[in-house]
Amino acid sequence: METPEQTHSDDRFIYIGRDGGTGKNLHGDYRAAYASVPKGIKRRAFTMLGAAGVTLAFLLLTRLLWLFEPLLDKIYYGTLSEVVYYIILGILCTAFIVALNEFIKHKCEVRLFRAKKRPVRLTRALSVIAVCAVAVFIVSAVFGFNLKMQKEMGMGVTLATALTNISVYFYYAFHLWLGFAAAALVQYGMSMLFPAKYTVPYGAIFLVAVYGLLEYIFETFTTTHLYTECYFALTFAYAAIFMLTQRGFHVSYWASIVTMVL
Amino acid sequence: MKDTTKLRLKQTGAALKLFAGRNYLMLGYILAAVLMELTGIAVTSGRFYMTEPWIYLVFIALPCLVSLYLPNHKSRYSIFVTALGINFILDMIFIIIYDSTNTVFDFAMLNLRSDAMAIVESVPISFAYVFVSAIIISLYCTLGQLLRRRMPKPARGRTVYIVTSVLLAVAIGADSLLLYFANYKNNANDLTYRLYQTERGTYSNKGMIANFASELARGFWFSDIDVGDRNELGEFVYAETTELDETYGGIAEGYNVVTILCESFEWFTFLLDAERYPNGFYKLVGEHRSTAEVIADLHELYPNLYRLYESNSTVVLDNAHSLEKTDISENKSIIGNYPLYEYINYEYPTNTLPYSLPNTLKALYGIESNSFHDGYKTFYNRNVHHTHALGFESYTAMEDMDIADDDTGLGERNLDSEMMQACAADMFPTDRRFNTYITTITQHGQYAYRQNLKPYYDKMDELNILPYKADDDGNALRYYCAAGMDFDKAIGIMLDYLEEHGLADKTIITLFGDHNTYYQGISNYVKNIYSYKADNYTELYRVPVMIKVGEQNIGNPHIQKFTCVADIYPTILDLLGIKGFKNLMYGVSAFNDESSVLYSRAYDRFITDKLYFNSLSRITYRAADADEEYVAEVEQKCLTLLDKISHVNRLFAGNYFGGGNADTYYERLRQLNDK
Repeated sequence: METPEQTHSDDRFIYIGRDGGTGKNLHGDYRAAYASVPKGIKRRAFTMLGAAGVTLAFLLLTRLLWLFEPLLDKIYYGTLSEVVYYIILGILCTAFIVALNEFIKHKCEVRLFRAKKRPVRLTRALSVIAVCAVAVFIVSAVFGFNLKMQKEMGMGVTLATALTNISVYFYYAFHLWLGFAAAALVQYGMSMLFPAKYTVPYGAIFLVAVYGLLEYIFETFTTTHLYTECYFALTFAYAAIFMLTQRGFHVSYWASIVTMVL
Repeated sequence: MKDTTKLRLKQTGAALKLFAGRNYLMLGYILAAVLMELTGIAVTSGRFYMTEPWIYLVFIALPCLVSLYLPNHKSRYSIFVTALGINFILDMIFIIIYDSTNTVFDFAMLNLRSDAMAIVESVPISFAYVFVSAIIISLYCTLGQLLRRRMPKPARGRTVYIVTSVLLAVAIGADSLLLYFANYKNNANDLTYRLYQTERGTYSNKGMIANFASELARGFWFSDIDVGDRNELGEFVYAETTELDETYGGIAEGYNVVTILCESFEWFTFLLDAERYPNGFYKLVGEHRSTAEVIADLHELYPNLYRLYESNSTVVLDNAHSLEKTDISENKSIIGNYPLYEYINYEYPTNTLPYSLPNTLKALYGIESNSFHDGYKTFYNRNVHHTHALGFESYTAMEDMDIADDDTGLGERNLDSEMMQACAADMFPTDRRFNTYITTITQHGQYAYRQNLKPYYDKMDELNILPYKADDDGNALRYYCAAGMDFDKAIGIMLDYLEEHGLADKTIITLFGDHNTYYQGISNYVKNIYSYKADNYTELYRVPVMIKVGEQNIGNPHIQKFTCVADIYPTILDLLGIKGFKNLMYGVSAFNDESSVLYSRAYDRFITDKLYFNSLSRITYRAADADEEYVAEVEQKCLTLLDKISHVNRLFAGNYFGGGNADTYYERLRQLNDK
């Protein structure tokens, strides 16, 4: 993702590409830091935070699609109606994310998904691998050293359940896509509102405390998906990866997807 | 001299260091690929080594050599990552095949590709393999990305290309030679070598990729079956004939024949046996219910299976075994044999098989045979194979039946009871003698909740038999037994129909399980057998066979000798009073003193009730009472069986009975039976 320092030249904000850290101790406290931010920057930051909120709200609203269950249910004993739901969700999420990207590009001059040329450093890359491995190992150990994926879609399933379960991964992938976008917006927005010497992992905290928690609550109470606690626990891994890659969307998203599926 | 050697060693060391410095990506690839392959071998065979790694090593040399033509490290890196990805995907596929079928990949499996989804039905994904390989690939990608920027530029130039080309040619030549040497011993005309083979039937010999390549080579270039001397074949076919049993031989002469292949049918579908099925219905016995009470409840749930099982007219084969897939069991019960290497439904569906039960009965008595199955018409190519090679007049599948089409392949299965209800008049005609073959489907896995079995769940709940448990992963046994109740209903419809139409006293009904209930590990669970080390390992493959001989009072005999699916065909012939040609039969009549050996085409294993092995040099399971004398006796039987299989290979490959040889067969058959 492109960092804000590439989009404006205000020398009071010396972003050094470390998740919003200024590298210099410019302000005594958060109040002073906030006060030092020019109005234009504040407006952009709030726009980003607002966009993050809308993204979350959109995710929650998509769950209302289930109100159409009686219609979807006609297809095959209710089993494949889930697949249809996920297809609709996929289309909506893609449309939303395209619109969001355009909106942010125009209003905040930030492109959410442009691939960065700057590679992740070796120690960080190894750390990402370690985080993924540890997360997968722990989850698999909980399932008696079977991959979660196998538990969900492997042995003892009919083709219909396998199809449904596979499509659940796409469902989670779409949610995570929007989750990461919202987390990146939160990180940008908060870093701009409260410039500090060191990076504060607002995005990572958001991923666990807001996105993860809301997903957990709604997954538990509105769906029959398996292992929702496990998926919530995995948001810690996503957050760690998000921090380690310095919001490098492509690396953090795909590493998280692999971790989530396995 | 010493200094010169030192200097040369130093120069060689420096050259190697330079080579290594320029080729970290290649060295890393070799290490990563070997580790991944060994991990795959370890998870399937338990061994972290290959006894014949040469083909695999030459294979991984190929991307290395190809990379030397590429101008920069970026493109080399791409080729190695791609090669690792391909290696991972192929290994994963073969691990899934192994975990699903317990067999290594063999070329003939390619014939099953269109039916694969319905056959496999589960995707066991190895944690160890995926976890280790994912880490290896991630590390390779990460370190490779870093190193490729720091490494000195690769060597280029005419010398490099020439040396690379020579090495590439050598590698390709070496691979071809290795594949030749791996396969030249295969001889479809003399299969004796299989009894003493060094192949373990696992991937620890060549590895997964090399086994795949080797199988492709075998399939394309080394599987030709030389039909050889047709006169010798003819002599072999007619060399020995069967004799009728003194007691049971011909007691059903003139009867109609009904044979029912019962999908995944096990004794524990309806029987309580504390010793054999500790996790079956026996678990219901407790403080509140005695064994007798549970058995009484089971009689209520499965009245018709008990009606058959306890009938004075029924012969029960207590020690029958099967370790095949449905199509092979089906064929063995209809023709009494099956060749090696090919799946005949696909490879020889239009061959002439005059010795099949339908053709035999037609030739001797003009009986019309018909086949019924409440599954898809084209599955296993039955629509062609049954009406051509096997000799049925018609093959009626679910598409032709007036039944609710529940079998969408998505979990629900058609109901056998509906098939029986809809087709009874065609299956059991009253105006002629008939031979009817029925293949059921309701008890087919997977076992999950099915809408159309709900009445059976309710009935089970009324009697508190296998109640639904929220903490039980899938309640598979409950769903399986409910499917068994529909099968029971189907049997009831059939028995009632035969009685009502005056056919019951002149019909032989044979029921047999085509294989154990391997889906979801139900058979392992109910029998509590999970390893070759179990005291009673072959019990895992014990399946029901019941033969009701009209309404005759034969005292409900239970035959204890080892029998298998291949014995069904000669047993039916024996009861009908038909003598046949012994060399075409892998089995013997259940009433004969001899006993057979089961050779599983699907799993490449020999089985008796006391032995389980793929090579006599490594017997996987040996019962405590299987002494040397017993093993020697089995060895002789295996050699005889392999000789028969070798000849059957030739019979099928050359369609020996196509043309005039079928007429000769019928003539000999009539002579043998004085018809």
